[in-house]
Amino acid sequence: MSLNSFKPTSLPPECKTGSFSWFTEDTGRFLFRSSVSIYRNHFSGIILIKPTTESRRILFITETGIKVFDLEFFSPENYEVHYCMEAVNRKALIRTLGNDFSLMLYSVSDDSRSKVLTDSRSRTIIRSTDDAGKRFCFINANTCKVEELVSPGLLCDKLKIGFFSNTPEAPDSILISHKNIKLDIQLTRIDEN
Amino acid sequence: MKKTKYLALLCIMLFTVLTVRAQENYVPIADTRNFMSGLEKMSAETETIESDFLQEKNLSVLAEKIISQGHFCFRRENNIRWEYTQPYKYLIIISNGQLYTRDERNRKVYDIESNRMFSEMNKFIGGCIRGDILKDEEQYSSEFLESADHYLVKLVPKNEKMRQMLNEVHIRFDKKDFTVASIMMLESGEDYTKIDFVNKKLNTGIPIEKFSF
Repeated sequence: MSLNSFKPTSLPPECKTGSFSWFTEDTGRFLFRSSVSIYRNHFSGIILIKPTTESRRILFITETGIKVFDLEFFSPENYEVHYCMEAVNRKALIRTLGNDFSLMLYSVSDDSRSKVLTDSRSRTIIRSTDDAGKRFCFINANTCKVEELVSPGLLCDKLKIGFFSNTPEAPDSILISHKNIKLDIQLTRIDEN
Repeated sequence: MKKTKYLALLCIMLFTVLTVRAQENYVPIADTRNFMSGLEKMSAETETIESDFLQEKNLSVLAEKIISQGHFCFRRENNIRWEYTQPYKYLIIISNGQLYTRDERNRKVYDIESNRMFSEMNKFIGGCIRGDILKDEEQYSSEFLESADHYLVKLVPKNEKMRQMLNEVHIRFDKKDFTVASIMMLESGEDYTKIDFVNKKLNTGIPIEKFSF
């Protein structure tokens, strides 16, 4: 990602909602088929995401119904671990998952601390800075939803979250990938019709 | 030998046409020896089992249940095939100390004891299927109940860490043939997983290739 090619711009008029997240209180709940690779371990199962007015809940259960973790986010920085299976309950892992899911669930907002940019491909980008560092949020100008979230590092991007969808209602799939640690999460929305 | 015996026994029990009866009245079993000997007899007479299954996952945060279904196969001594067809295809095979999983994108083989999470999950799930769990007095306290049509064994983990994952396990057996009708895993709060076994077929001669990967 070349930061030099970014130029200031303004948000498309139809996108001035303040939030570009796929998961807001009026979107209902989502079920994703999920694949989580942590170092040499691979887990698969179903992830439930349920946004409400108070919080955004994310649960991971295996195909056989065993609950792996249950996190509830009250804000991007404030979340509670309702449950985490002892076998994966490691502080560093929980912290990483918390950061990843916080970014995935809330994306970034175009508040006063953020800047709206565009790149050589005419994509709209929100650049924000918080305690965790810089974040770049690539917006689809047609749907006003986030397409990609990037947390850049010194040499390469530390974290990328890609959202893929053919509809503006829900992401068909989400890919969370880390460069510095061997943690990848792949979500594919379950068609319940 | 004893372990193998109960493995076969419980797998046999997985094959019952489920008749769900709301609010069955259960009372303690007066003499559990009859129940246990019935299970052993059924085990001795059964080489293979196959069944359809319906799995309900109830999460208190979700108004509706997450429904999965598929097909189950067992062949003595220790071959299990657990095949989900809904909401998506996912296959689990346990054979020769290895656990194999396959979906549309990935195929994985694990030595069961090499992965801590799989080991714990497999120990529990396998224990329910094979019946080891029923005899594990060190890990579980048990209560034996019966109604007009079913036996019900309630298992409560003694280990605190285990109890954080599962409060209770309920295994229900059909009185007619001692096969397992359902397994219910109760977690904290109102969350639970219930697996009903339907359309049982015993001793159909499932080929060993069904458990290869």
